[in-house]
Amino acid sequence: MEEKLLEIKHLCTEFSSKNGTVKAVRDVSWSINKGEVLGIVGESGSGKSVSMLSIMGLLADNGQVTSGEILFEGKDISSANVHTKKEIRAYDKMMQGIRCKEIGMIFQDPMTFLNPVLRVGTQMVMPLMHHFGMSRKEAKAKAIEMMTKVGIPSPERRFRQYPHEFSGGMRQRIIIAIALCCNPKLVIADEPTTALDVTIQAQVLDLIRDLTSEHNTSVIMITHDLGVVASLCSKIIIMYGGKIVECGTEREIFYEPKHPYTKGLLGSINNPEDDDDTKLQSIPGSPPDLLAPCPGCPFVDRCENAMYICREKPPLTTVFSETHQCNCWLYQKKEAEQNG
Amino acid sequence: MAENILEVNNLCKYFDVTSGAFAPKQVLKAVDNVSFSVQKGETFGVVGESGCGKTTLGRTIVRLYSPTSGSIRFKGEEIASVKREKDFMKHRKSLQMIFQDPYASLNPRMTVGEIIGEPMTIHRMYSASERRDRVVDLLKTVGLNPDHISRFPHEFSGGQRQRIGIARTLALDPEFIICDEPISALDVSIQAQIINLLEQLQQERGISYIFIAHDISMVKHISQSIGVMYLGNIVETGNCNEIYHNPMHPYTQALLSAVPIPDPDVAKSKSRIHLTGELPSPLNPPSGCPFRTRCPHAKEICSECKPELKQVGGRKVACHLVG
Repeated sequence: MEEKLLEIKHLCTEFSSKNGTVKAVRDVSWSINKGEVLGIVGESGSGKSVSMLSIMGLLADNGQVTSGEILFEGKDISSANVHTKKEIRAYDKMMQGIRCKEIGMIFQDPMTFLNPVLRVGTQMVMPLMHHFGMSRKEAKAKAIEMMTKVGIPSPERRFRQYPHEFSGGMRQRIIIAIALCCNPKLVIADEPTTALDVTIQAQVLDLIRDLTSEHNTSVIMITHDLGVVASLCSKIIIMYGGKIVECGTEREIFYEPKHPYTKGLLGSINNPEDDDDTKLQSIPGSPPDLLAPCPGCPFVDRCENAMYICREKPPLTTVFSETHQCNCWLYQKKEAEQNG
Repeated sequence: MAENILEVNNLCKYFDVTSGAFAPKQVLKAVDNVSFSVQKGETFGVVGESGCGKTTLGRTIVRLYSPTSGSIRFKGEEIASVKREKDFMKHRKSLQMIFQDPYASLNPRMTVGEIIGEPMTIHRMYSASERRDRVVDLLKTVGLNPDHISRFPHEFSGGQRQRIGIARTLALDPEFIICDEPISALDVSIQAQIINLLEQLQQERGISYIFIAHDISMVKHISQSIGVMYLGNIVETGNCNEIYHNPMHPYTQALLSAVPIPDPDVAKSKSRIHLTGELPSPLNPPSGCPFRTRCPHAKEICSECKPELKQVGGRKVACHLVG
């Protein structure tokens, strides 16, 4: 049996806004094994980034994990039961020991992640000095080694430069170097290539793949691009409206999609290998309003197979194989008839 | 043979980026000696990485920038040398543009009705009541609810805003639309909606497009012919399927091999051409061929003189090593 590195059980995250409570993540459960590459695919507002920020304890002030467990190597690191000042202090202290050292994070926009007024080198040595108590000199040697590894030419000179002196692809390499310098067990990559050009995207993806397989690091790849997950991930989760609609291995998702949303998503991207003039299938409508989500399936307003029950009750999980599960009433016809 | 609605010859757009009064003069060659033509009712796709000059090319054609040199012939008339905006007005009606960012391109203080009606007001077309009817028609055409006419842009989602932008573009019944990355700010499922809408409009009204994007798979889907740009130059142009299945220029080959394929089996079997390095600064482009610094096949000749676009079979390629 493979060892579970991170397991999430019934995670719910909410944001309070002046218009009401936004339920960004609603009852999401999944797990990732050691050395596995997990892809989380969804559109903007589907809750994929928020679930990652919940894991890292980096939610904005108005956000709160309301329930659920986040088990990292068996230990609960969720902030669901953190309320008093004392608990918050203890939680922050615990997370400081985990961030970067145990779980590294690669963000979408490299410019907002890096501090513009600090030299790149300073930002690279900080986690090393903090987590391993290295001296500045040792940390610098390690940082330069990492910079060479991620393919930055003349690292000695680059070490002294500021973020604005780097191009987008180079900045993303720096972030990858920072995320990997402490040899974390898990790396969360939140749309690491969205801001980059295709040729640079290919370089960065190869880099992430090579460096993580070298140390058997687990990777969670968050993206909206199915092309990226197809080449990289072994397990894929499709999220929509704050919920998981389908999960499975890459072959199960791409060749035997079950949920209408997954099918629509696959139909709406043009596979350049196909010859042309097949009309793209589009999904009508727009993403759901998370301020007042309907009690049933989040996809119901855009689903062409929607039934009466879809609006009323959240769909049951249908298990197709050990790895392949889908939350849709279509595969629970009997139950659906009984209920509605 | 269909007639060419747009012919662009040796178009250049340089920006003066000299910083400070005594600094040496610096020129940024955003678009350098670009030539291509678009047939009536056809879509010409322009692909390239950021900073390759594709947006500048589009903006120069609609004369948001005035070209440094070269000619643009639209329906047989020269429009590159038109100096005064007043003289250009008649072309404006038939030459329109859809912008990349649906959040920045709509005035937040105007209602949807005002936004879509504004081009007609500027061109003094139709009476006020006719305009209102047309706005309602346009909203229906692009798939929005006509009751939303008095709403403001912030009440709409990204995809809906892009539809408003398209409706505004269609208000003047243009014959030619430049789509500058119209889908790159949108979600995947919404992208397909906009592409299908653009294709449907093309079939119904015979509009020609220039479709600018960095996503080569979408460009391939919508266009008949494409031009691949690198550092302000077109390096390869011709029929879209031919170029996709048999790219000749080393840059096109690398660009195509880097496209992620949404199919695990194909993606794993596909061989990648690894480009090393990054786009050189357009302020200080390499001598000779602009691509030679990253080209895996670069020879001595590549640094000595710049390759011209040569006819190779049914297409044109700018490379010393091809043909």
